[in-house]
Amino acid sequence: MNISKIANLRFFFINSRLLGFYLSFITLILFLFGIAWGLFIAPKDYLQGESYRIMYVHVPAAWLSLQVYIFMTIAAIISLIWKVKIMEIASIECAPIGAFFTLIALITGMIWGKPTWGTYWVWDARLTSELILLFIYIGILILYSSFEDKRQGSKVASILAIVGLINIPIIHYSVEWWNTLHQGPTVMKFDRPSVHSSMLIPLIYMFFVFNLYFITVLIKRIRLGICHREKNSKWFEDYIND
Amino acid sequence: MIEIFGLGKHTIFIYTAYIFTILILLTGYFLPHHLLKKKIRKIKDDINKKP
Repeated sequence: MNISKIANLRFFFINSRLLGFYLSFITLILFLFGIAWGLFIAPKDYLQGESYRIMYVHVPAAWLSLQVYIFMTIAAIISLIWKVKIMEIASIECAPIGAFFTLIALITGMIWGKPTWGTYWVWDARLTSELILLFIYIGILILYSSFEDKRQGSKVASILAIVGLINIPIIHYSVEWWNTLHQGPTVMKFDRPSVHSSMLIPLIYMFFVFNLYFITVLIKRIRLGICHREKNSKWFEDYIND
Repeated sequence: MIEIFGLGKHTIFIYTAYIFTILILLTGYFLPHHLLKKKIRKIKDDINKKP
């Protein structure tokens, strides 16, 4: 199967339905196990006690908020240079998913902050740059929806996404560049991770599950995007009528 | 029963974070699902209305 076939909107819309269904089912099962692992199986932390368990939803969401943005920008660049329609749709449909992950990272971080730091929020570099990421995601969505012509809208939104990429290294390195209340990197660093494997393995597992969720929802959103753009085309009407 | 799920003095924080995550993830999943169904229904209705 070649890439041009998958990139074909008609082919994608028709064949992604079942794939989305199976992925949803697998993701749900793996997610439920991951929740149980994070809450009850992973050992208690000697310093933070039980509250560190928030890490199993907070950290994967924070990683995904950055990863989705990078994916969105790559799709935006491809759509601007090679005018690949499906990449145009994928790029803009990444924005709400990324916004949801960023929101989860921010809120669960606040909840974790209270028992750990004694406060829900501080204006330190990591938290502030992550909040800016949420505003960039929302900005991209508002900009896109303000255009009548969706192709034109996605072009302008793509440019904003590319400009906003500057925030990603700022978020990642903020804990090293500035003196922050947020802890430094414990997993994503050149040295060995400073988390014990009994805590690290469920974290990597949850990261994998969150990635599966991202793929599942992205497929659903691309289908929705295709539906918006191709509603007047002959193949779409024929497919709907069947 | 409640003791089994107890996670010490920070139980409320941990469960709030998990429940919030689950709610957002479910919203993120069902929103496009619902919108797609609604859109397809509308397109079908428009096609049927055509003379």
